Amino acid sequence: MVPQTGNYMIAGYVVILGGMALYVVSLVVRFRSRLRELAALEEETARE
Amino acid sequence: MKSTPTALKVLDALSVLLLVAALGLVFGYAPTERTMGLVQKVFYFHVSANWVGMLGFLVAAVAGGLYLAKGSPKWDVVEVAAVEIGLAFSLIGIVSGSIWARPIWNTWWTWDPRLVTVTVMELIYIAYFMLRSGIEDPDRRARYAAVYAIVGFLSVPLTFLSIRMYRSIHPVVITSTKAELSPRMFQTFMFSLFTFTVVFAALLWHRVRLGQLTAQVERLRLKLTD
Repeated sequence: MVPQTGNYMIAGYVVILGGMALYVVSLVVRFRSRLRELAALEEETARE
Repeated sequence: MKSTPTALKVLDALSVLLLVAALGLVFGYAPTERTMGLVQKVFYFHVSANWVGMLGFLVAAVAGGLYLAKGSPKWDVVEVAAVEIGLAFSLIGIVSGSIWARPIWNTWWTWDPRLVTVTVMELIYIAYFMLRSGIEDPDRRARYAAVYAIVGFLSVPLTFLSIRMYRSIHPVVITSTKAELSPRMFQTFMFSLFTFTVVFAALLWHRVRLGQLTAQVERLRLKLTD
């Protein structure tokens, strides 16, 4: 009889796909934040 | 910073398509292993995640070497990007491996040579960021980090070979002569490895762009404070 290990498989894929999604989100958030900073700094440079 | 290049958008779309196809193969094509049951299916993405981790550290070591040879800051940006991705995927590999181990080894964790070496490898690359954050001068930081990325890479082959060199309970699925997998499992495994390699390329490109943008922001900030 095949052991019932489906729950562990689901947990494993949640960690793998969730971890990858989290990393992608962190990249997007950091990129947008840097773009905002850059725009603010460029505005400040133009004023000076 | 220019808008996302078309080639990167294509790479992103390809990554998503390949991931969906790989999941289709894992759940619809590869057979269920009889002694482990469904949890064996974690293997395909667990090994692929660890592969990306090691690939990231390899790219970082090469970028470190190129930085030392040429002195161009772009290699420092590539190096940081590769280490960060390597760390993230190695962590995913460690946690997913622990979940696989619970029903198979009857424990979440054991001090097996592979588990020890992969943990040491992870800690070495966490320390890489600690080293960087401790040095203010950008040139010195990049130079020390490059040397560290090259020396730290020694932990990668040690981790890879640990299950072949020492007595370990960790499975050795691929040996130099054969693969302990059925043809469908082997095809799914190879496809997953290819998929994760493409995902790595896409993520590395994005992370390098982020690094370049951060450098641009820092330069402008310095100009304003001068």
